[in-house]
Amino acid sequence: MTLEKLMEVAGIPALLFAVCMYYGIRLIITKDATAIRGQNQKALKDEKTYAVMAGRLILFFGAATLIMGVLLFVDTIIAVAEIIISTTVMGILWKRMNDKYGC
Amino acid sequence: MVKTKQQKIKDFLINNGVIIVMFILVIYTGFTSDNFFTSNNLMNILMNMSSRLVIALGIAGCVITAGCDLSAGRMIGLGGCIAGTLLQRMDYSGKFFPDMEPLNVFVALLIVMTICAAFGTITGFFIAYLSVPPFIATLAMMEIVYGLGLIYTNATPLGGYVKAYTNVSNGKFLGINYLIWIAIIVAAITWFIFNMTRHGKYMYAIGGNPQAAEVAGVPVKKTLILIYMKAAAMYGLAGFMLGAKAGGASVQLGYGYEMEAIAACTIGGVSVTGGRGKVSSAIIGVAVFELLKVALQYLGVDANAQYIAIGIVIFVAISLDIRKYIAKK
Repeated sequence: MTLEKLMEVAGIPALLFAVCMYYGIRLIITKDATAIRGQNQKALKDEKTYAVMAGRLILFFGAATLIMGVLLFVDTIIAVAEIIISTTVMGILWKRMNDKYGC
Repeated sequence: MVKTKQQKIKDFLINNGVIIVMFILVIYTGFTSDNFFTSNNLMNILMNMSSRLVIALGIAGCVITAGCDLSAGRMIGLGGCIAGTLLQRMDYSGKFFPDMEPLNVFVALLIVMTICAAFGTITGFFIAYLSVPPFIATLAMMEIVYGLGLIYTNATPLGGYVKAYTNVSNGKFLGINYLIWIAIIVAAITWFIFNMTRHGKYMYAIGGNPQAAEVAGVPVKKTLILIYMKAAAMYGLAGFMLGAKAGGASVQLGYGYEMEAIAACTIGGVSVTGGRGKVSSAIIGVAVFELLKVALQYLGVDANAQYIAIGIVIFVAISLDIRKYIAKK
C-alpha cells in the first residue's frame, strides 16, 4: 500500500489523532483549560483537575480516532460504529466531568 | 484615553492591514495582467465566492458565539454526495440507485439540508447540553460524517447528473449565475437573522459574555443548538452548489474549506473571541481570500507556494484579531 492510498483513506483520522494528542498532552501538562474553553467563560470549580481530566478525555478520543483510522482498512461500518460509540462515551464522560469540576 | 488622529490612522492601518495589502496586490495584478479586470474573470470570481460565502456565513454564526465548526468540510462532502446520488441520470452507467428516478432538484436540496441540519443539531446538543467544547464536538462530528460519507458512497466518486442539477451552476437570471443569486439570497436571510431577530441578538449576547447572557435570561442552550443546526444546513447547501458546479462529487469534496471559511471570517472582522461580526465581514473576508487566490494564480505563483501565502494570511489575520481583542480589554 502506497503512502498516498494510506493518506487518502486514513488521512483525516490521522490528522485528528495528531490534533487530539497535542491538545490532550498540552492540557495535562499546562493544566490551563483556556486552551479549549477560550476566554470570558464561567469560572470552573477546580480548573487544574478539569484541565487534566479534559486532557485525558481528549487523549481517549485521539486514541479512538487512531483506531478508526486502522479499522477503515478492515471494515468501514465497524470503523464508523466505533467512532460513534467513542464520541457518545466521550460526551457522557465530559458531562460528568463538567458537573464535577466545571461550572 | 483619547486617541490622537495619528494613533487612529495607525490603528486603522494595523487592524485592516491584511485587507489593505490584498487590495494593493489585486490592483497590482490587475495592471500587470491582461485578463484580470474583465467581466468574465469577475463572474468566475463571484461564482467561486458563492459557495464559500454560504459556508462562511454558516461558520460566522458559530464564531460569533466564540465557537467554531470544524465539521463544515466533511458536511459539504456528505451534502454533495447525497445530492449527487439523488440527481443522477437514468442512463448513467455508474448510477448509484439504478432503479430510482432522479428527484426534483428542490426536493433533493431539501433532503440534503435536512440531513446536514440533523447532524448540526447533534453537534449543538453535545456543545449545549454535554458542555463539550465546540472544537472537540465538531472534530468528533467531522469524523463521524466522514465515515458515514464513506459508507454511503462506498468511497466511489459520483457523476452523471441530470441537466436540471448542472443548470444550477450554468443557468443565469438577469445575466447573473444562479449560484451567485443563491449566495445573495442566503446573505440576505443571514443578515435578517443576525440583525432583525431575537435569535440574532441572543447570538451576539452569548458571544460577548455567556455568563451575562444566561443571567439575562437568554436561552443559551437552545440558541447554540439552533446556530449549529443552521450552520450545518448551510454546509449542505454549499455541498449541493459545489456538486452542481463540479458536475460530480466525492467524500473528499470541500476538504479544508472550514479552515478557509474561518480565516475568511477573521479577515473580514468576525472575531474569533466572540461577540463581534457582521454579514458584511464574511462577505469582505471571502472576497479578499478569493481575490488573493486568483491574484496569485495570475502572478504565476507556484501552486504549493500559494498554500504558504494563504497560511501566512490566516496567521497574520488571526494575530491581528487577537491584538484587537487585547487592546479592547
